[in-house]
Amino acid sequence: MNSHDSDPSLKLLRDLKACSHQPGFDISAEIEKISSQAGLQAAFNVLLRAEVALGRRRPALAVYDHAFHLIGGAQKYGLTLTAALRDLFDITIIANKDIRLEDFRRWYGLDLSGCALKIIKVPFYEDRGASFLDPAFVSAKVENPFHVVGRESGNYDIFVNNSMNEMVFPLSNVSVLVCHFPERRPQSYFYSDRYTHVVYNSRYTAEWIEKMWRLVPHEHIYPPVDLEDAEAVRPKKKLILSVARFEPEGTKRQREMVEAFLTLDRLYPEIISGWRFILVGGSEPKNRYLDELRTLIGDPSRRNIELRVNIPAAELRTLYKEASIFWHLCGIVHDHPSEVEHFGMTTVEAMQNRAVPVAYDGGGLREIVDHGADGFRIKTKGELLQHSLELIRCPELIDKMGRAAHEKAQQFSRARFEERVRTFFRRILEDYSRP
Amino acid sequence: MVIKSGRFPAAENHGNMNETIDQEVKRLKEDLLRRKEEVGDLRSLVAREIDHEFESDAMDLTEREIEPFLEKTMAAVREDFALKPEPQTLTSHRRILGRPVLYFKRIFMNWSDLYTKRILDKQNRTNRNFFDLFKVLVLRSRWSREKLKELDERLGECEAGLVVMIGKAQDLQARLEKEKGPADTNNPASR
Repeated sequence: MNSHDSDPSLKLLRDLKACSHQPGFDISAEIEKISSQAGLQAAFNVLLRAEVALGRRRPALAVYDHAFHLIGGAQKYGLTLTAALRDLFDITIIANKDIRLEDFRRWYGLDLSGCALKIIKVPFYEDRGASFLDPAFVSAKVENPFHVVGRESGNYDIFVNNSMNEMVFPLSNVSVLVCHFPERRPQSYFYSDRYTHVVYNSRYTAEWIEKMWRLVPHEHIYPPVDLEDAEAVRPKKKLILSVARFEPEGTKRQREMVEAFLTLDRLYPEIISGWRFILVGGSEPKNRYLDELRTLIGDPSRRNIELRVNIPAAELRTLYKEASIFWHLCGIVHDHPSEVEHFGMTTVEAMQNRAVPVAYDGGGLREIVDHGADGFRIKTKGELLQHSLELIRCPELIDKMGRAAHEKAQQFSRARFEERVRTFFRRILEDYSRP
Repeated sequence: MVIKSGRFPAAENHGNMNETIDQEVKRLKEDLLRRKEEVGDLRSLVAREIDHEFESDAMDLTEREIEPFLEKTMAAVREDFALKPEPQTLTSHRRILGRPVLYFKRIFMNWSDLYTKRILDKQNRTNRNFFDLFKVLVLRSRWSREKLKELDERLGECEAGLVVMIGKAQDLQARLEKEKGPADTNNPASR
């Protein structure tokens, strides 16, 4: 926020606070002056800020995500942030497709009662019958369809854009862009540089924000992970687990993991005897990659490799509790930084349940797994086999590393996330209400 | 549209003053909100241009972005590399002398075109050579990339095989030691 003395808005706010001592103070003329110089929105923003600064009402905050109608880690981030701020702000959740607060409670276990919900349909996508509002469809040849959201942002003191959509121009006094990863380069309708604050979810994301957008992000807040289970089974079962979406492009690298397990099974039948490998993930009904995995596994009666698609949360929790080892290879083959895990929420979930991670040495996973202490970071399939065998041969190592993993995972707990979010927004609010 | 009134008297009563401010702020907000609704364009709301051009540096491209960039650039070069002299329309503003002036201009242009054409032909040949060279380099880089990918996969397989072999050797060693049993300290031969 600009606190320069020559800023007419700030001057007006200060005058308003002290106006009882100034005879003949003309607010209308001042507002009109700001309006003619900086536009109607600037004048409106001064009045919004004045109300908060004078203590006339609670500050209003809007949280927007163009994919709130879909289940996802980024959306969970935005809504957990919303839940953490309920007592500080009057909150409105803005979505582009029909959704209910009840759905959020069911999906993420979040209580958002007291928050308003506003659905703003975007005609550009509605006319095309698109269920996902992909910003990549928008080129400079068409009018920016997200301006409708930009306009709405001007009705709040603080606007938080939680979506991977940098085409929303913020009009509010304070704006916060939560960047989960800079997927696109700056092009037409790119407004990330117009936000007051840019929040990032991992140092890996921050590195790429600087490279792709040439922006230095401001605030680092790791995502909330809350699959902590004090009753995680001990001793653990002979289970290797993988939890990742079955992306049709295969970017989560389930094929490589199945191949590795088949190698172990073929060459170490005695050591691997009794061990199972379960791959869990969400998928679209038609998924060629999933079909390929089924073919690779072969015999459907095979007991030690299983694919479990779109399973309920309770079943997933049980698997986390039982798993000894957690494999995550996303990024082991990639030709774009977005194909590497930006953070790695499922790895932390596994660690919270004392499963030892053997994960790719890259992206956000480097910030989670401390090699040799609370898991292993690997670059190749050979290293995956080597460290997995090391663990399989030594149950004591699984126990020791599992405990270290559990301890490390506390850094990414929901409580820690909420604390960081509240500290950050309190700071913003303090600046905002004291011009 | 101009906002009317809003001048505050020097109030003695702070409570009344606050009320007056609140009412005035509310009235101004409603008025601005209505005026905002009337404005269709976001740019007008902020009274400035909101879009700007972005320059990207080819050296920053990621692996996935290189192929589309090559395709796009090659298409653009292919379209533009054959240079042709652009025919010019000859005009003269002189009423009487215009025709002879144009006649001499045309003679001069035809004469100079002979030289320009020769230079352009040479430039076109050079452009074509450069473009062919560029295409071959692209071809070679694609081929090298494929080869590298293949080698990488083979190296991965070798490495995985090595891990398996080391594991097998360790198993064998453990089994041999087990079969041999603990060292017999009473047997002088084992000392």
